[in-house]
Amino acid sequence: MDELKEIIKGCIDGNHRCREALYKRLSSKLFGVCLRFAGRREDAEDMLQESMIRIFENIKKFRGDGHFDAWARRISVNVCLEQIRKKNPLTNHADIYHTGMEDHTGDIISGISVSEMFALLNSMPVGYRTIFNLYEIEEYSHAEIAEKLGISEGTSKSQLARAKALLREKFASLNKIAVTAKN
Amino acid sequence: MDERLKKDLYDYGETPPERVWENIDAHFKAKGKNRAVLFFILAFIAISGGLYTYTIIDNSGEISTEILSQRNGVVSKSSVENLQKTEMVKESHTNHAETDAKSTIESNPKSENSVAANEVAVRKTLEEKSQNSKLANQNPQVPFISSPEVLSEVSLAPTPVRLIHTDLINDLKSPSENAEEPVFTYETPKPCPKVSFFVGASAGTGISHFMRKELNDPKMMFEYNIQNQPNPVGMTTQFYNAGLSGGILLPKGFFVSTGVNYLHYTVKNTSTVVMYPFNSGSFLNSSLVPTATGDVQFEPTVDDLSNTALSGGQIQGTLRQNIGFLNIPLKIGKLFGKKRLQFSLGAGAAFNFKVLENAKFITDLNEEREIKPAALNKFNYSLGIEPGISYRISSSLSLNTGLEVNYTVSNMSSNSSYKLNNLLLGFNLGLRWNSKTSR
Repeated sequence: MDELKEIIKGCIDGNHRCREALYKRLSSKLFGVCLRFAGRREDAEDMLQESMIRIFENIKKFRGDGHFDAWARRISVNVCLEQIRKKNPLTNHADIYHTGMEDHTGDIISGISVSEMFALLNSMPVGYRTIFNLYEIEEYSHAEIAEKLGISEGTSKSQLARAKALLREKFASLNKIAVTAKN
Repeated sequence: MDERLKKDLYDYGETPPERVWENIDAHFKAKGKNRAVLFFILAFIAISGGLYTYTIIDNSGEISTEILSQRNGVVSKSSVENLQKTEMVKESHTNHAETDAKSTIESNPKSENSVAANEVAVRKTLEEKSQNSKLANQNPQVPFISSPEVLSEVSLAPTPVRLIHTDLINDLKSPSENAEEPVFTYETPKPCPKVSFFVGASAGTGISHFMRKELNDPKMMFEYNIQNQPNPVGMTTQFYNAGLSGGILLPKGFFVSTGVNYLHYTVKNTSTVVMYPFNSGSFLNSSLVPTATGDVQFEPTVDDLSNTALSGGQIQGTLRQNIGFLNIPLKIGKLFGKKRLQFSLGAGAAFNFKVLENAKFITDLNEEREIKPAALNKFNYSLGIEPGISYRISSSLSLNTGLEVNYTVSNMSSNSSYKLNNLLLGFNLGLRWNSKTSR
């Protein structure tokens, strides 16, 4: 913890080595976050780059009263959302509208590996993927999602339900292919 | 959703490609450079402004003293003209008075009472007009203030001229009261502090040393250097420069200057490239060629392998590298001595923009190979000092010569694994033309 404090202090002072040390500490996890949101590797690299620059530029605002990694992750998620909005304006996207469908599904998927899940997520439309990531993985509330994406809470809920339904469909077809291949 | 899967997705990490860090690093380096350039420019402006203000204030004091010591001296042209105007006003009033008196007498031609009565009337009219004339003389500001010379003096140097202007008014009151023997005790104002301009051209040559410092683990890099890199600490090169300069020569011998120079580094170095052809198997190993800006890859050909098979895979050749920068200096300095021979000392920063970078490796078989030189940043900045001697050939032309010591403070290399700086020692010769004083 003291080492992290030293690194943060060095980053505030603009020390090159401290920046590199912090990058090494955070980059792997944050790249995972970016990959989940981006859908494409090149976009994920851009998101990570922007996230790290934002973290270094705002590091003096970190008050030290929370977990640093969580603070950095939150910045990264915000950057991902900004970049998604720039490239795919969610509010105008055909995927994002209130269908009235509520999420009554339980565990949609079980027994799937992380890499398979990544493949499934990347095959989903950007709007579904974003809300699914925010709610299911990052554990944002529907109210927070609504605020961040500029949509209503109802839209957030219904889009999550549709995302899960789509995932289940895709997972089922993936299983079908696997069973057929086995037979 | 499965909690385990959720946790796995949340914790999922993957090492990003190296280029992401390189881009982030480059972003902050560029930001640092911009800040440093801004700092230098602001510092230069502040120092130049401070120096100028200091010399102006100092010289204003000298002028005031001189004015006081030279009182009762020369009468300025504008003051004479103003005096003449005042005299004309006075004469005009007197003439009018006489004319009016005469007309009073003429207007009463039929008055036969006596000549005495006429005389009384004439005297009375003359007295009245004389009073009016005095009043006119007591308010002489209008012609003086509207005088363009006085106004120009006021605008050029407020403090000393205010003194002169007050004197003018006071002094010009006295002739009105003692019209027969006017006494003027003001003098010609001294000119403002002398500021002249200069332009010049110079050329020079010298040696420079490119210094390299590894930024990664020093122990590891040291071992790596010893084994693989023949150029671990840098290389000495020759340079030439030529350019134009201009500036302002302030009072007390201070000067500020800027200009534009072309700075050309040239490297000629005999190198031996070891290719290890027998260990390479089915592909050709590239080897390192030391250049001034870092060690770069030399890609051998199949012919190289056959040509060097007997010599154990060694190839001899000469490296020729050219690097060019456009150099913009900002300097302040001081000239010492007032005779024909003057000494000068200047210091300042220079901003260098890369305009040329290429390298060739010419083998002993006279084959020219383009090699990609180690990347230099497009921009760097340096600090330096220049002691010199100036010899005045004529009133406005002087011959200058001097030494130059310059060090690039910023990292010249865009390679994030090492830092590259340059120390330059040179000799300059040039001609300089000085303008007359600005006033």
